[in-house]
Amino acid sequence: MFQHNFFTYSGKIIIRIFADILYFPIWWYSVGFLRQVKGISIFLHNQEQSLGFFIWLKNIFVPMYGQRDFAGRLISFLIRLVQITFRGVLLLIWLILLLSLIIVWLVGPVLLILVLFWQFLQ
Amino acid sequence: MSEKLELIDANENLNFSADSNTGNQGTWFLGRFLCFNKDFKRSVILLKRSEESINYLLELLTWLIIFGGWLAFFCWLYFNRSILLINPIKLLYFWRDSNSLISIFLISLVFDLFLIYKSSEKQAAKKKINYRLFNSNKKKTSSKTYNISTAFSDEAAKVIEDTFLLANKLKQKEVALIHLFRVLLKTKIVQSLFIRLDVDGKKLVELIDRHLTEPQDYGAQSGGLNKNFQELLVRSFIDSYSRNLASVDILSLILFCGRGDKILGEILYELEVDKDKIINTVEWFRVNEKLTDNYNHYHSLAILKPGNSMNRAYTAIATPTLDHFSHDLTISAKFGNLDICVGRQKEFKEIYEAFSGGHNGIILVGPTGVGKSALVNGLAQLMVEENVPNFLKDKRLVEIDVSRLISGVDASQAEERLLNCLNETSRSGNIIVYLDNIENLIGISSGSKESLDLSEVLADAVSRHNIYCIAAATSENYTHFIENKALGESLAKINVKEPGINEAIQILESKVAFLEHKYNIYIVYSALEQSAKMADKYLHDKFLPLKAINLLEKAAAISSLAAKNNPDANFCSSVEVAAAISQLTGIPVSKVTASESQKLLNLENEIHNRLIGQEEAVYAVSASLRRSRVELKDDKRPIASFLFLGPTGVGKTELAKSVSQVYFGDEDYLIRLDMSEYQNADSISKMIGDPSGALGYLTEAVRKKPYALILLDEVEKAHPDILNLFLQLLDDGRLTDGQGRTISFSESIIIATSNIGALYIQEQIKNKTALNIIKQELIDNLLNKYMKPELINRFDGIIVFKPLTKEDVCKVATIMLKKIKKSLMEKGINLKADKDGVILLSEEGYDPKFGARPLRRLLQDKIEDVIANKILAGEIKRRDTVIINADAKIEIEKAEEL
Repeated sequence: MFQHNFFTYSGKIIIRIFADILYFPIWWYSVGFLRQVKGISIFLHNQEQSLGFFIWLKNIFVPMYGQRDFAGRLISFLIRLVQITFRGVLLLIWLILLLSLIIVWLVGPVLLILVLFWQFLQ
Repeated sequence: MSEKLELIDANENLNFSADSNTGNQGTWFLGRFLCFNKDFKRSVILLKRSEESINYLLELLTWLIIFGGWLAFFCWLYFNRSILLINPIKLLYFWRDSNSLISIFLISLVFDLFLIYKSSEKQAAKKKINYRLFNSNKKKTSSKTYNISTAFSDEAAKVIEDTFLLANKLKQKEVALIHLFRVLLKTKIVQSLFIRLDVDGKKLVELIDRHLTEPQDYGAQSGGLNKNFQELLVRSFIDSYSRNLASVDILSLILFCGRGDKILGEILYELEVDKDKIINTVEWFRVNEKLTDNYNHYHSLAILKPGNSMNRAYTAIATPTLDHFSHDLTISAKFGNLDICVGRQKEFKEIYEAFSGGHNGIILVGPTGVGKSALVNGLAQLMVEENVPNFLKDKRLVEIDVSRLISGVDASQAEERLLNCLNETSRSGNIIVYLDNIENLIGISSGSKESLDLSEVLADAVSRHNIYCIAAATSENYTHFIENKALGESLAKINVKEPGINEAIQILESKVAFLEHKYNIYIVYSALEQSAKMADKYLHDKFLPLKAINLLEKAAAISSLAAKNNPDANFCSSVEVAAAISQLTGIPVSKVTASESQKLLNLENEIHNRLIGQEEAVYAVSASLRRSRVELKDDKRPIASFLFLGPTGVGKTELAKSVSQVYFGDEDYLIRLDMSEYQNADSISKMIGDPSGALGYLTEAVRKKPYALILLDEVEKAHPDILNLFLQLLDDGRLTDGQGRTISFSESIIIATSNIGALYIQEQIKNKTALNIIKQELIDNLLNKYMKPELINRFDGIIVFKPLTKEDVCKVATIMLKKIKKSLMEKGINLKADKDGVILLSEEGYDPKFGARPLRRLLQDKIEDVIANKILAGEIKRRDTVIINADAKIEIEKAEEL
């Protein structure tokens, strides 16, 4: 099926190395980008898990420490509100950081090329 | 994942055949035709290798450029330091500076991005098995063929290529498994695998090379992989797939190597490496791999688990009483204090099913040491990972210490404590309680007839669905105390079975790292295998895997002790395990050594040193013992069982004693039962004990010392019911004692003696009838009056002892005189006997009816008594010699005065 010989194969090697270099920019905005987004969302999910943000949100009206009287419920609600705000802010900071990372991923190479051009034009 | 595991087994027979369309060899698997389709050519492989080198060089170059770029940047910083110190903001505008240093830095940044691309691709390339292809329901791809050649890890692919190159170099017609094996032996992981297996690496390589050295000239055009090779590759793929591995690795290749090739199989067989050994060792390596892989994963998940009694939603309540009487298994697991649990998927599944099937309580039932606690510890770990069904998520597993709960207080206070605990548990809602040895709760009630038992309090809480509860009890305690009580009805029973040998070995493998570290030794595979097998064979009243773990630890301690004296001896192998089992049971289980085999071959002579005549009997016994020592006997039955028939005083008991001395090394290994003491039916309890707790004489002696000779004297006098016990004993090699324990007799020799037909034997011997005719007559007409034919049949040998002749008695007299001499020598007195005197004594002491017994009395009266009197009278002193003269009279030869 596959008729290999020395020359075709060494030719193939050279072609493959060049193809690799040519594929690199395409990869950056397709496969690489998707992979990055996936990695970031996993990281974000883990951060959410460790902060327990949604667990707190889900239980916002559930009294803490089994204190089911009115005062208990009220205090629980307030404490949970504070906790949720605090945890939410932390999560938001992560979100912003990671989003900017994605932006850097998208814009960075373009900027780099532009700056390089600018450098050479000077 | 577990479902997949059940579906596929790469060990099963594959239907390996050629595809009708393409002609490729392969097999159907989950709707795809698996085949290994790759053309090998020497030049191609070499070129591929050079491509790898070029890629490696390119990567190195990239790194250098990146390094150079940053160097240029720092140089730029250095040159502009005066400006930047005044106005640091300028740093942000570095790119505006048209400077060659900055240009270099900017260009190097492009290479940074390129490196990200390459390493990301490299990472992705590690996942080689395409799982989606098998899982997707719509199999749109035009071809159903799956070429597995892309699924191998880089190392494994390189091994396969090297194999081809080797076969090519040897000019073989086709690439065979033996070539693969030779190449695998060069890899580090396979080398360490064979070190664990304690295989002599040099010998293995030598044997393999002997079958490789002759290049067979099939011309330059050598063929591809042979069918066995391709089948192995497909099997390895299926195995890796079912384990959910990223790619087919070297371990998967070695797993099936020994099976497809006849010569290779023979070589491995010669080195005592079988299929199970390889599977278990590969499993060992995999477990270690998994442990290191899982370590970080587990810890990242464990961070999420709260380190106190609170759940993540903070809805739980404080549980001070419960905390006082319990300890939290999930917290122990979070901090990595629990041993890992190997396997047990089935039991976990049963636990989940029982809980989700509406039961709020389950009880784990199984003998001590089968791993009930390990199972619960494993559950705690899964709960920390949150790798459990929803109802167990974000919960605590808390073990209530029953002994602490009931100690120091009366029943009503204990009840109050338990109620408080249960109350807290049910209010908190995030707790699953675990009670080990739950039978301790049974029978504790506050006194009056109507009051509740502690166990009923628990049963009540469980059946009202207030709490989740896991309990554990041994099988006997479950039947005795729990099954028919309220508690038994509210708890779903889950049997925890004793694991098989291979599972036990795999459990042991998980303990090796700990033991090696603790005792500073190196444990090889044979030690694990022997521990599991010997514990199974010789330690009968305990259960796997605990008994095997304890045995291995003892062996490890033995080798650690040996290593102190000789630092090179820090290997723990089957030898140390054999030593450990010998220490525990007194059974010599090491391989038959040269000196011992000599002893076994000369067993007859050894016995004849103490016993005169009875050649047939001695031969029959010796042959049977030789068979057993090289393990040709049936494993379960006793080593040997004999019925000795003959008149009194001909050496029946003496032979039994000699066997004990010669075979077990000491007469102390003799358990003697005088069967005339067991003439009533109720004396059974005396022999095997009874349920009230009385221990049986026979069963207890054998339980403590399984390696013994059991002598049943005058067996015909026992009650028929007692003889019935021996029916089972002789056949199955076991008895159940009064407490229900099974006692194994598989390491015992059983000898019954009887005087039945003594007179008949004497008469027939006088008439010179052949022994076998006498024996047949005894069995047919005399024995069956006292014993059932089935019992007679079950003895390995029925041996008729001949009455002693005058010559025999003379030899016996010599032996007895030697004994007297020995005790006199201790007092510094010598003894000499005239030959005629001995003959005179033996004639006087000979009685055809009573054998050698009268002789003993005679020697007592005529020799020992006389010497004793003379010693007391001061006539014999140290250094004197006592002489038995030709008239069988005592004379004294005084020693020279000093």
